[in-house]
Amino acid sequence: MASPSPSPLAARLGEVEHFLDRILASGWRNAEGDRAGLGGLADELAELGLTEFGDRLRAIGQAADAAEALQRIAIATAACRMLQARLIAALPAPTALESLHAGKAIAPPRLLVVAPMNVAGQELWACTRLERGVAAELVLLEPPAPRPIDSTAASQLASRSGFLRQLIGGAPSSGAPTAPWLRAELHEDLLWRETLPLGDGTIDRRVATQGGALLFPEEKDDVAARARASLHRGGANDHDVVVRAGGALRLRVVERALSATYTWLDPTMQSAFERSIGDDGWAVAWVTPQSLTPLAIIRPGGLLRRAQLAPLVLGAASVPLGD
Amino acid sequence: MPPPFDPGAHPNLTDLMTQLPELAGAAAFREGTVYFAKGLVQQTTVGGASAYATVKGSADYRVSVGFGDPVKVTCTCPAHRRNRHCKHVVALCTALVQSPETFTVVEAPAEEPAKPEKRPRAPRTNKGAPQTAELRAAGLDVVDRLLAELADGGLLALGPEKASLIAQAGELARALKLRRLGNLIVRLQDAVPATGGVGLDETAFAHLLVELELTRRASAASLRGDVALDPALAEDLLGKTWREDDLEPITALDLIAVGFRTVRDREFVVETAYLSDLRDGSLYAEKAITPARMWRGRRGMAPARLRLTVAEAGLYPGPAPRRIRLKRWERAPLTADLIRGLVDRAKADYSELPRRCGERLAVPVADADVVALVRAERIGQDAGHVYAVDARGIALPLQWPSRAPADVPACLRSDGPVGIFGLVHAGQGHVALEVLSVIGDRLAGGGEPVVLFGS
Repeated sequence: MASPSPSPLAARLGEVEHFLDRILASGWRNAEGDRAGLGGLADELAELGLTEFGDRLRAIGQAADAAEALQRIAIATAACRMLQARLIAALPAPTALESLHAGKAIAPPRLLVVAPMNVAGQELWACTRLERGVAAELVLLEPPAPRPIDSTAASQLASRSGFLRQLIGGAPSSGAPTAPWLRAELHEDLLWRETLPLGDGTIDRRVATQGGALLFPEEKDDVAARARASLHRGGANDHDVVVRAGGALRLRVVERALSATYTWLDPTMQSAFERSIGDDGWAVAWVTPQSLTPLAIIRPGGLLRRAQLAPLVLGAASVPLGD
Repeated sequence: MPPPFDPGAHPNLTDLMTQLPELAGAAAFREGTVYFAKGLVQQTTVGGASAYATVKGSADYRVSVGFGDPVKVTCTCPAHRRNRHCKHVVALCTALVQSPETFTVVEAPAEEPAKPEKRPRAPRTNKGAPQTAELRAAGLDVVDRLLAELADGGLLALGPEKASLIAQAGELARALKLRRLGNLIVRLQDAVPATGGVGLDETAFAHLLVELELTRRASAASLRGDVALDPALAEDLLGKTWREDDLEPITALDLIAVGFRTVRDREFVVETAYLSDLRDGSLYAEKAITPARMWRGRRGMAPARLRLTVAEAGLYPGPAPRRIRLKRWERAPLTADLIRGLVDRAKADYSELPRRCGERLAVPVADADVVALVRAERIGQDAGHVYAVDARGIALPLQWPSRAPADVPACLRSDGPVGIFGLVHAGQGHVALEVLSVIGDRLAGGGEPVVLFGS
């Protein structure tokens, strides 16, 4: 990007510096013509009141050899730059300043809702941001406020905000709605609220800017369908990806004895984990080369039961995973 | 009496120290540094490229480190059989670098002959100052000859026939620890087209020649003692290595990284993390200098987008932003309130930036970069230029690194004021800001409080 126009004197000094650059680039022995022009340039600068600087230029032409010329050019160049520095002025804002163009529209992020949790006493949802279908980032989302939702979602999700209160109030009845965990998505711009340390990395708390309508994708677009199906039939393997295209969201076999080696978003999550995991069990976890962060316990299904997700929240009941 | 041991003159030792945390493993490295701190490294001697010590642990172990080529370490402890870089080796290496003055310097290797170095080494002397002065004079003579030939022949003289003279001048400059001069000569080396270099245009060649001449003069004057060198320039110009005692202690900082920058030359990768204090907006620079062949990407520096509560740090002598060494710090949550506070405290009046640039340009051999975190009340465009505008209506042209999107970064289309951090460049009568990051709690399109540009 080019710069706005300089002042006339600054422009003249810029030309002088360029003139000196040309002598150096040509080489002292090849710059006869430019050397001869130094005297005229010196006179011109003297007329502008820069007598001393003009004398420096004149002295270059009288150098005995290339080494002496370089020495004098270097000093004159430094002086020229200092003079230019003195002329640097604040630039008034252009009167015709326009707002920035809207630019290329940015698609809103796509989040898969993973599990509810309490972090520092606040109910948050762990979500994974999907990038080209891969679980690319773990995000803490403030639960969207309750509002009418589309009819498809309404049949599957009774209420979203205060989900933990419902869970802690008692185990859902057999007719309870299916939870959004590992099923629903949110496609909306997010606003950053906070960045928290998580192991060697970080995690952001964000909030949806337009209310946070949850979407329940069709089966062909349902990135976690395969993982849920294997959990329902009890056929999951350790390290299985949750999002079909891959990423750090994994199904892992976890052990209570190792809980101190796992990374926790909140100390209460470790307590909840140790109380409800037994000696070992399954978890949906965020796994990096440096850390394993359990997000919820998973109780796999089998012939007569559906898989369930147990939030790592003290007192919270398990909820069935969606189909 | 031989001069004190100078660890900076032994590149293999510097390399070894950089690799040691990885070679030893975190636990052994930590224990070794504690051994050193507790004064358990004793009977220390150094001769040639070998150092020896007794390290007191559960027993007394004899340890040696040879930092010639190849590097060789020995220790009499049992753990050494499993891991050659045991905690005792770490302790000795740490002592060599952090307390070289405590080592008794002997003319020859103390206990066993060091292997002759295979690579041609920078000529060094331990026979006293006169010889060093002669060496310096000889080194500067070579640089003078090179500059005179280039000044006489111009850009066309920068051909393959100059390659050996340039290499010789570079070798001597590095041997004399004339860091800035050496770096400039490396740029010259990289520019010889016929040897695979990238070439230079006329302006770049002329600027490099001027820089070389000014630096050569300043270096020579400092070496002769004609001028008292500003400590702020000593590190860059004369390769001064700061000791722990030189650092100014500072405590209770609340920092966030606001920009990163990586500069590579043939030998080193210099990474800089610019940090701002969330309480008062002060700026600091944390640097990591890694031999280029060992560089594997940014590591060990302040993390991006997290708050660091610093209990203990040290400030190096030098110009603002002061270089900082973080010693004890913890990561802490970064909230929207803190980001808003940072933006509120950012420079809200741009009229001071030209003066700061002018002051920096008045010192020809100093690094010309001025960094600033400015608060933009609004951002707009006119005739193809994008400007940040302050509360008084003063405009600051914005430039972003070539790796950033060619169009206006989405994050600049933010509601309300944002912070913009970058390098202030002067020229053509005004200043411009090369954007390294945009900061705000409501940046458009993001969900991130600090959007970083550049490397």
